[in-house]
Amino acid sequence: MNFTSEKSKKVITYLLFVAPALVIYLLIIGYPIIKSLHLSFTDYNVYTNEAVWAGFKWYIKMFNQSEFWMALKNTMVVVVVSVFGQIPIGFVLAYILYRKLVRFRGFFQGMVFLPITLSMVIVGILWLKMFSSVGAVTNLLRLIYNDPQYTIGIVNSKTWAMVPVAFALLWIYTGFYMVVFLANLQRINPSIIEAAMIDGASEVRIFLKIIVPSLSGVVVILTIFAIAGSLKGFDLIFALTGGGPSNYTEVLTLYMYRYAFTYFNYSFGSAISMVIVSMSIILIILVRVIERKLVGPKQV
Amino acid sequence: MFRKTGVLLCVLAFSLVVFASCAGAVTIKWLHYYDITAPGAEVELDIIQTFAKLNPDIKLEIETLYDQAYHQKLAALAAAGQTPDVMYLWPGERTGKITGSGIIADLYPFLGDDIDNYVPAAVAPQLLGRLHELPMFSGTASHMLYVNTELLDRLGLAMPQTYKELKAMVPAIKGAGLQGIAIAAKETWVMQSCLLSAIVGRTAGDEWLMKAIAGEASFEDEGFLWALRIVEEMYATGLISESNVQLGYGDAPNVFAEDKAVFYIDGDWRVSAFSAVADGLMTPEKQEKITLTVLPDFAGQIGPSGSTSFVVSTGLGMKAGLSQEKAEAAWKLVSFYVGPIASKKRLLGGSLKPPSLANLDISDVEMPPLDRKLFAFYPLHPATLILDAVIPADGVQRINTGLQELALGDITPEQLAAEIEAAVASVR
Repeated sequence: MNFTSEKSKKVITYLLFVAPALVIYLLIIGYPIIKSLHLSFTDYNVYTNEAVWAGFKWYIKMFNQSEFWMALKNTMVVVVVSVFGQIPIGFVLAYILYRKLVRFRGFFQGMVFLPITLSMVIVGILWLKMFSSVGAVTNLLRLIYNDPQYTIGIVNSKTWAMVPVAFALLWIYTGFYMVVFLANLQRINPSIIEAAMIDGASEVRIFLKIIVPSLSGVVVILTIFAIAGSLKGFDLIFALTGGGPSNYTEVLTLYMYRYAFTYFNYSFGSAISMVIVSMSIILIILVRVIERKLVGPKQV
Repeated sequence: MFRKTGVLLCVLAFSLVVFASCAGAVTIKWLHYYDITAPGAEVELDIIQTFAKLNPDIKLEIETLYDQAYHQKLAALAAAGQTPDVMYLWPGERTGKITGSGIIADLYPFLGDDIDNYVPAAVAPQLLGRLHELPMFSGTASHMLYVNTELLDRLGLAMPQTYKELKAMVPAIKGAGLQGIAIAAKETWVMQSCLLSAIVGRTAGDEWLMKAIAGEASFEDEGFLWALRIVEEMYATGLISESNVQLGYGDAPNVFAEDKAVFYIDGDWRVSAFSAVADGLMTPEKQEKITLTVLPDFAGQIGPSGSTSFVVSTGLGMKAGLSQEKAEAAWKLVSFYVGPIASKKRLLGGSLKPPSLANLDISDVEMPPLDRKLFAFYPLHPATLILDAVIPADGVQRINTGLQELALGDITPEQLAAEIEAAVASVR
């Protein structure tokens, strides 16, 4: 290979620029994933640091556990709430502020964005203290119903226990998406909207025909953020419910934490983490495929 | 036995370093389990400082953590080959993986003839027949029924002598707008450790439990099923309100102290929350009206009458293979931690149980009323095993989550027993 040619110089320059980031990425992302994959196929004793080959033992155990399927279902609830709740609501709120459809825009923008500036653990404890059996909301409801033993049934329901969690997630993260959309809306040339209005386009038509197509690329990126964030989300649910009652609000990250760091079964915890990584890759590829079909590759 | 609070971030993670004044001091790395927010926590600091003053030739490097963070750190240090010189350990399965791995020293050779100075049950063999930790107390009862006798009197009720009498109280208690039994059931371990363990000790007995763990009996056997049915019934009848499933460990003592529940179930360690001199939840006058007992007997039970679930206390252990100099310094610390000075300080601090040290002169110790009652509690109640001290983790986990499902009516005792049997069988 001729290292003095123009092409070689470009390749070497490219490699030099990429190498530092690539090395760091491989060390802190690539190596742990590969190590985790290896551990998931072993019986690993953390105290003696010995790993004995165990094949698919932990994967079989995981897929046979009802807890895994409950955690998977709850994780998908979080993904759905993020993608089909936080993003659309954030988009609509941003549009309302951008088109100046309400007064006190600064106040509303601040209020919606405020939760994302708080620590998730603080938010979790705040909600927990409000809705626990000795919390303010529960005691208020006991006064209203004149029943000192009144319990908020939904938080103990096997079917609906994720609803309060989903509501908290909406409250916290919608502001983030709103701000991102607002920043991108401000990049749209106002003269396009003015021209549409002169031509008699309605607010709905402007929204659907100008705004939405202009932000389709942002929607895709935010969807990927939302999916990745949902799959790795831990802090809020840990502080809010700890996965309980029983495992009714447990998501995959809590399920993994319980086995890896409560029972110190790192092999099983690694197997669960591999499922999370796989799901993340599959869902993100799916989003990109859908986006390409709907909008086309150049829009990204 | 698990002693957890509901909020992980209440976990303490700070380092305290006590420097020796002289050069050439032996350095001891100590990973300690210590909740600085607990009532009476200042006593612990006083004990450490006293040791440092009395032993200027030993430099202590202490890291203190609490709850899960402690166990995670200990596991991580052990995995990295950096096991601390001295650490806080449990006698049973809670730290069973580390004590069973051979990296913790057997303390019997260090104890020597001094073994006669301790309550025999406290220094009985632990896992593998060794003494991995020198217990602070004579033992820990994970089940205790705290009774507010003032409320009982107000309702015209007498102390229940049988479980049937206890159940019969429910209409009167609920009619007065009160709870029957308060229990911090939001934490999954509480119902298993503080309630079911004691019931299983009565309905099935220790001998059956050890057989079930070994596979010579089944968790679907009648004795265990009966215990699960009792828990189910407690919730179904309202003796324990369903709202307790959302009652956090930190909030539960307040419910009892504020006269919202007639009874309260927790471990003996919770006494200090009510009696601690500086910040206890009850005045001495109020403590006089609290009785410490256990759940009344169940008709036809096969275990001992009036029993409680019990385990040898926690304490400090040492890393195996320390140099002679380090081992001597570490043993000084381990033995001081349960010795007369430290035990007396705990007694005077008001957050205590009977020490493991026998014949300790406590005639000059003024104890709050509830602590006095705690001392009187132990001789009255025979001991049975605590489930999470002997059952493997997979089984304990299913019991813990399953009890909440049972409380909420989402699973039957028969279904849960079958799932527990399957979980234990998978690791036999």
